[in-house]
Amino acid sequence: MSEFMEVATVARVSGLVVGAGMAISTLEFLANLRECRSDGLFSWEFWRETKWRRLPALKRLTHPLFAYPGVLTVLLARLGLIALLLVELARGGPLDPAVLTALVATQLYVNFRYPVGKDGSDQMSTIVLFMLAVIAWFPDRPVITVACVVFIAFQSLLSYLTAGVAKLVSPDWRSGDIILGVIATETYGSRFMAGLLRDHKLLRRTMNHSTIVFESLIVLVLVLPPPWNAYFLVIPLIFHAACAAMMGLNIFIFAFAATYPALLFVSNHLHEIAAMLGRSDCG
Amino acid sequence: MLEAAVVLVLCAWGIATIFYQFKATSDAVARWNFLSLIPKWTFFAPRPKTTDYQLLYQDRRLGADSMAEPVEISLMPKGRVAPVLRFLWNPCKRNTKAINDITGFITNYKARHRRRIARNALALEMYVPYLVMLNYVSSRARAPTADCRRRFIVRKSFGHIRRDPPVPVLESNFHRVEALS
Repeated sequence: MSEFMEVATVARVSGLVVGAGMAISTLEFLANLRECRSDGLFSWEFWRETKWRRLPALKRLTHPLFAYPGVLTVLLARLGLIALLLVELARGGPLDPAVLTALVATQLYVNFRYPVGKDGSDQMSTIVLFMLAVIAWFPDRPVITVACVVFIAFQSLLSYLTAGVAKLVSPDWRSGDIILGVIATETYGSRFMAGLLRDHKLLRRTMNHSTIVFESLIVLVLVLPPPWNAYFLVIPLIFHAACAAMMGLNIFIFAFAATYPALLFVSNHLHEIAAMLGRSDCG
Repeated sequence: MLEAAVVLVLCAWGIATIFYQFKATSDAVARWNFLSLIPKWTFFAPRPKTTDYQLLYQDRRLGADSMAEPVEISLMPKGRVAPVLRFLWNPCKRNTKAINDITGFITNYKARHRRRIARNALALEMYVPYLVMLNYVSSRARAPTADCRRRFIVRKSFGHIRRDPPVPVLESNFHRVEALS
């Protein structure tokens, strides 16, 4: 995977992947727009009270932006920005700082505007997007661009490691059967898969324990030499594809796959990065 | 100089993320996490949710002793995306996650402010997630009559395999609700 030796390549691939996920996510927000009206689950008329109860002037001032139909305008603008980003990156162009900054603004808007209903894919998309915007503003400052790529890789590793260790210390997860409980729900599962896992203990235990093992051992990606580090990332990719198909967590695959170029970059440059970031402490 | 500042900010952000993963320190970090820039990564762990929530409403006539049977409000609308297509397109997940989040907020709030709520029911009834749920239920339920008092109920059900009956998780007080024009 020698392609991921350059920050520009990492940023371009990450931008394309996270952009695709954000496009779907934004279309899903638009499909749910009814819930942003005053009688919906995301009614701004109610949720603004958790944020600005004591700031009536600010509430009045920002109401058109956050309430329906202001939210529709922002989501449509966001969709347009994503299209611009994807077209530019697909043509091999550089990251556009203005487009990325505007996209970060819409991402923070979504994070603020929707106090409920978000998930880990929104969190990872926010981080990737933020770092890409910083890279776009300072493309000629290698310490900054590398620090941003390292930060994406750090958050990616931390996410898998935290999830893996939290499962490892959980008696429910160690029992080997909890995955059946999750897949048997209507929210995150399907009747077919639940039946399959109920009837096949070996499959159930394999899926359960392999999730814990790969999440806990994700740091291996840093020490495996190329191209084995890239082959190793096929495991989490399959995991996210399975989660998308079985649990409906469709944006995770984009948000987390967008961090893999950064993981490969750090893995390919581990020793040089440590030396470079060490030097930046001295200004 | 700029390089050092960026590296320092990223280090602080990274350390805050680590602290946010632990129960003991997550509340302190959450206070500063207005824009959800600090992520929580404990997906489905340590205790994943193995139940679904059902949302219902129940009517009572003013002065009457008996109550109507609870009516369920579908959280999975008809025409829901087929499981195989959820791989790419799943807008429903936001709503079901929102109901889960709101239910969690209300039950936590009730547990934390038990005494205050016992003294004054308004302490709960003015809590924003409670109002959101009541408002949502009212807008999706059938139009109430003038002497109708209504409450919402959240029940826990046990998915495709377990046959246990649903268990109530949350029951609101009865409220006067008005038909939406």
